[in-house]
Amino acid sequence: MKNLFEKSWTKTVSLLLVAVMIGGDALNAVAFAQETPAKERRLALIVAPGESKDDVVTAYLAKGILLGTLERFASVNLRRAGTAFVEDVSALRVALQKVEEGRKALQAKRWEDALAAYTAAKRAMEKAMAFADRRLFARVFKGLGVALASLKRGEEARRFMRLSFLAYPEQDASSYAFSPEARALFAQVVTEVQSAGLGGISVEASVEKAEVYVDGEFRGFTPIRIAGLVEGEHWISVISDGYVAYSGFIEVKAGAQTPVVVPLEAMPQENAFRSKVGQIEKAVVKDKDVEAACRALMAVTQTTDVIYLRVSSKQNAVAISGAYCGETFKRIEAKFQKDATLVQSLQGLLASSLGVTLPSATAGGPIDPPELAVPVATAGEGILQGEELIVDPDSPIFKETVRVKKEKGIVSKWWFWTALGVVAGGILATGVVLARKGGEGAESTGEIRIYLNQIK
Amino acid sequence: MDIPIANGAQMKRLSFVVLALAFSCEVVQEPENTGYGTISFAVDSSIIAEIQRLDVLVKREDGSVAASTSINVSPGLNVAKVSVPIGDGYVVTVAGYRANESTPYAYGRRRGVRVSLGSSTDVQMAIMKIGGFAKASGLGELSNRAFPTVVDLGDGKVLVAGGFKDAKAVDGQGFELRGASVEAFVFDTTTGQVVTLDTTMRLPRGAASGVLVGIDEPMVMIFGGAQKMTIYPSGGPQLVYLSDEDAIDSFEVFDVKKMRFLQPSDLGQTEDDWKMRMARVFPLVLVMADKSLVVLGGPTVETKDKEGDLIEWKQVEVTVGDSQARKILRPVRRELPEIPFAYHFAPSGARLQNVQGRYRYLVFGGTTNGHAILELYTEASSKDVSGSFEGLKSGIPKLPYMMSLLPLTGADVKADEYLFLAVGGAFKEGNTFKRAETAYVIGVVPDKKVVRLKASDTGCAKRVFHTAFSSFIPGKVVMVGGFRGEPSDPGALTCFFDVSKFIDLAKQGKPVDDAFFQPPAGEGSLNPPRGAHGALGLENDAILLVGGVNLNDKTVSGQLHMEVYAPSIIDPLGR
Repeated sequence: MKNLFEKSWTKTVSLLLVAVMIGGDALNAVAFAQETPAKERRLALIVAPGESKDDVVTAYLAKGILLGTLERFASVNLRRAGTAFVEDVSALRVALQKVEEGRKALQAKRWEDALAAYTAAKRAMEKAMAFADRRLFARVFKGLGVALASLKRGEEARRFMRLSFLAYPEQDASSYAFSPEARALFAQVVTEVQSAGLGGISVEASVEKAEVYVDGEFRGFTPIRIAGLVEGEHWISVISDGYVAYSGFIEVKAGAQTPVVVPLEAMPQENAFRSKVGQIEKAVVKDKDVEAACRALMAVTQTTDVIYLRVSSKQNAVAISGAYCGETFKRIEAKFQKDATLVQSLQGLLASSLGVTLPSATAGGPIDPPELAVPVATAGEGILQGEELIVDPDSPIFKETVRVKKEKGIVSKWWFWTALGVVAGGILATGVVLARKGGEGAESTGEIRIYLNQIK
Repeated sequence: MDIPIANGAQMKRLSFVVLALAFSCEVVQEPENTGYGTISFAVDSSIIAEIQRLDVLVKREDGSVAASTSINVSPGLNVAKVSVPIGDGYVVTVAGYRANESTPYAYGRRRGVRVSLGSSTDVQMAIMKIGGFAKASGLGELSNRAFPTVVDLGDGKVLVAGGFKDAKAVDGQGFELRGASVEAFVFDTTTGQVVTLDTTMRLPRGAASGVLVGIDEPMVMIFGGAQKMTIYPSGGPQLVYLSDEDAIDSFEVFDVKKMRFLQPSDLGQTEDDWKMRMARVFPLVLVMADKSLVVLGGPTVETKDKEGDLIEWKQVEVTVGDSQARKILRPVRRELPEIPFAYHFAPSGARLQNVQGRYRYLVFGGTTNGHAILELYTEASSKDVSGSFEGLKSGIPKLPYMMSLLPLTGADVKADEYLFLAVGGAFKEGNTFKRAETAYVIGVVPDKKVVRLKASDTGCAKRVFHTAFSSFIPGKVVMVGGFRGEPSDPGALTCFFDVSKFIDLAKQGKPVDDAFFQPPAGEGSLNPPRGAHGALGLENDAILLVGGVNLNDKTVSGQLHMEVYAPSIIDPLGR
């Protein structure tokens, strides 16, 4: 494998050299393993207990397993939605589009455009951030980090890179090698995170058994204590069916347990939602009009797919009765052993209900690396399809790429325009005053200057 | 950037002022004006990177548009022209748009802008994201505080004085607020600058009430307050506990021009001259048509009811020290004679109407069994007699405390009826206080002494020691922060109330809960969640939120929490 890797590396480098010599168009033409946007699907997943006390425990066990698995489906553009309120359920689609725009701008080293696109992606994502998967979150914040770092706005970039890395620790410095500044800053961020102290949080919500996600990873239900978090800012989401989902950021202190109390308010359509959940529960129990009830739930949750599961505990087994509706309708009846196979069984049930193959846990791979860092898989001998190559950013090839980049010079610096603006503004104002004095007389007009300030 | 200022204090520069755009003038004749001014406009696109277009709207006081323009922001120098007739009282609004968007993303606004002949006026303006909390940072040594007094100084500046700088949990569910402060600072909401002052109040006080006195030499008066108090957000036998010795019976005077607190001797007066007839905590200060002030409520003992103070600023000839006699303005206190006015602790009040040049107010809440919950107070026609209080039957079944009373505007209501929203606070049932779970819309026809009532059990009502605002965004009410009064208190979320929707629902005989709604999820809320904070509706329609008990760690410690909140319901070009 090592030899193969080295061989592949050489091929890649050679091809990149050719590509650089030919120009940017050749690079753009190179096949690049981007995420193909599949049709967007929004899933309302409702896991309800049966009637006994044991059923509650079992239902939350099942729900936890399923929630922990759901993240994988983001790779086929299927995300959870609808059971809790977010501002705009379709906002994540917009965010993805903006991420793609931003990625292209990064590739073209159009930093301002990239910053605008990723900022728009962030704004869109914030409208449904509780349902954003960690990969999307990491892509957005990485993009912001790279763009800002490349614009020499290191302190802002550091925060975004750190959050991206925490949400998606599979990243490495090579995928930040859009600019030397971005790569170097990310390397620093990784070092800082790895050497940071650890702390914990205790999360309480105004609703019991609300789901808690830290850095995009499902961690359990409230009230919960979570230890082993690196100190500093983390992304946290708290979700409970029928409530307004919470998603925001918290500060973890090293060596301390930070209490996090999350107020959850009933979502605006709570009554309609609970009514439809009640309907499907009755329908499933009576095995009557289940599809109609399922589709009614789909309508009120504004989703494309609904899975309703009623979970009961049966000695050493878990009995599940429910339904799936989407493009098709399926009644779900299953009984799984309550043992080590339960996780696999539930994951299989989820995938088969949705009509997709369960994506692997590592299906995501690296996120949005610079194209120069990607092997040209179709062009060389000995390169295995799907083999991941990592370009050494210190490679002479990479440096060459940087060097041949058109130098924009001083006019590309923000401070240049600022300084020019100030000077020119002053000249202009002086000119206006002089013109007035010379023309209409000094007392003919007045002047207001408006200064726009940001409160930070 | 720290900017040293003359008195040696540090002024924290929190904002950027960068020139990149400029307007020049065009001379256009309008019959009623003799000349035109110019607006020079400055913004750097690298700072507000997301904004691609800026609309500038200059309106007169009557709402008519005096000038407008639109600029596409691009790197470097941009020049655009706008003609503005000279005049006073312009409302200048800047709305920023992101690429391909038609809804403003950010806005800034100043009121009372003067465009004059032959001079240049600099107008500082904060630009804020619409629908978000801009958290002030770099506050240096300013520490957090509960129940500070927050007073509008005009010109975009705000005085923040006093407050309790420490909290200790007591009795399981209460907070003893202590460490009252004498400190004050000024926050310029147009630039984000904080100026710490080297002048302090005479006494440490929190939970005091302040008001800007609209006289020729603008003065802020801060009444009463306490050095220590205990609040019980979850209710119980008490909502607020105060001892007589901790409550304060005096007031402070802050000279806005000199930016310093005065001593009684500065105005040739004594300590006794600056005392009220009793200690008052959370008193209600009503400004009368002749600029005098009526101070009501807030006694620590129920028997001290039916007593108010009237403060007038009078010009008198005095001799201070060895200096020659001179005429100065100074406050003169007069006791309102005992009149049929109920015991009120922390009442709310709102102005109703002018009655032959006199103001009439509604005074609400904080009363005891047997007394009216609602009273009309009409200013006296002569200072030789007191104004008149008239009790109204409110129809509210319990006794409300610390409820906000918010005039509802911008909706189609009957000409002789005034609508108010009463929200938050607690109700007293028997001898027990319980957090309010019902909000009321109160309709008052003062001339007929008629009160109508509509109740809502909205979740937005569940808050105490909160803040709420109306009238600056027509047709809407904004409720921010406060305790939910639960054992593990997560803090109350931001809520809005839509007056038109309420009226539609009420007319249809439907429940009115849907008139309350929450902002979009991304808009956020107080962070950390807080109650017992100070707040002020700003001239630019945003809300300043200062301090408060941090509900995450149940303290008021650490650096000051201060945000400017621009609710998403702001219509930047609407007024």
